[in-house]
Amino acid sequence: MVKSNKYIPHLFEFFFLGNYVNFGVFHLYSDPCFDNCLQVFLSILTSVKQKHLLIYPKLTLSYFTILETLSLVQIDFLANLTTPLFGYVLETVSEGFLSPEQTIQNSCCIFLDTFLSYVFRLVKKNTAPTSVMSNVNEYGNLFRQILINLLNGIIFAECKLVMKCHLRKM
Amino acid sequence: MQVSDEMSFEKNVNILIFRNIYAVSKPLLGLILLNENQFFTEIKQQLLYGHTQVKQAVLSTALDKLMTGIDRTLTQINKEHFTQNITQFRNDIQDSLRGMMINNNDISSSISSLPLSSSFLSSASTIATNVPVTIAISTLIPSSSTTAPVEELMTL
Repeated sequence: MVKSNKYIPHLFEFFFLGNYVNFGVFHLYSDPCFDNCLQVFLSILTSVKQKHLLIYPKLTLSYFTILETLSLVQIDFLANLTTPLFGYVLETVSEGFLSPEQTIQNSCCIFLDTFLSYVFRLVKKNTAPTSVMSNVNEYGNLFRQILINLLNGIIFAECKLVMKCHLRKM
Repeated sequence: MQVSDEMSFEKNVNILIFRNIYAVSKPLLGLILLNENQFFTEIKQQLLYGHTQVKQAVLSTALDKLMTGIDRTLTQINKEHFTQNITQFRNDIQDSLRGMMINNNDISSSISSLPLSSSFLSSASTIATNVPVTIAISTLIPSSSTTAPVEELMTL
């Protein structure tokens, strides 16, 4: 199961980011292919435990690849997830920021950036659907925790850097 | 697992600062705007907790300056401005810390802080392996014990 999950994200990545097809066409002709594809992502998400997702490095990497791809292509899908699923995604993102992998951190940054830009854009136009707003309100604390972690990371690293330089001089 | 946990934390902090500041600054602006009501009160308190008084003052002014010239939108230009502010924020902290170090005549105290990283690691190893690092840190910071690793490392 885990093994095959490794390849699906790459498939996704090439398929979505290749820009081979205009995906709006699927919806226009009521072809369910595109939606089915997104459902595959959900079924992967629900079939793997969060613990396992973060323990196996290759699986983690592919999961964040898929998340990054989807957030670039179809952020409204991610933003409109049901509240528990959205919480699940956001928790993994919060953990992903603490990962030593550069790529994973970047994916998390891209996800949060596109998501927040999307929400702010909707709010500005006054067209925000209730599902998105309830997701944001529900996990306000988690957003705050991520903010604190990021700022602490920056401050902490500055202190360490200065200390290292100082010790080297001595 | 234990070792890799410690390693990952060490590495993570380095990466966050050295290569990734541009990427991190983008979601950071959104997060700050999302939490704007609490940012200058509660969150600042939480960030300052555990630092020495002198450093608290430095950090506080640096944090205040973080939002100067930034309006409440997430446009591309605004994000660019914020990235500049973040870079400035880092430089401010670095400069004032360095100034503090030079003025600090009591060199022996800074020598005694030499094995800091090792003591940090040993105290970090007491964290249960399966506890995510986030939770581990957030529980450590508010604790008033003198051996809180972050506090120890920050007190230069």
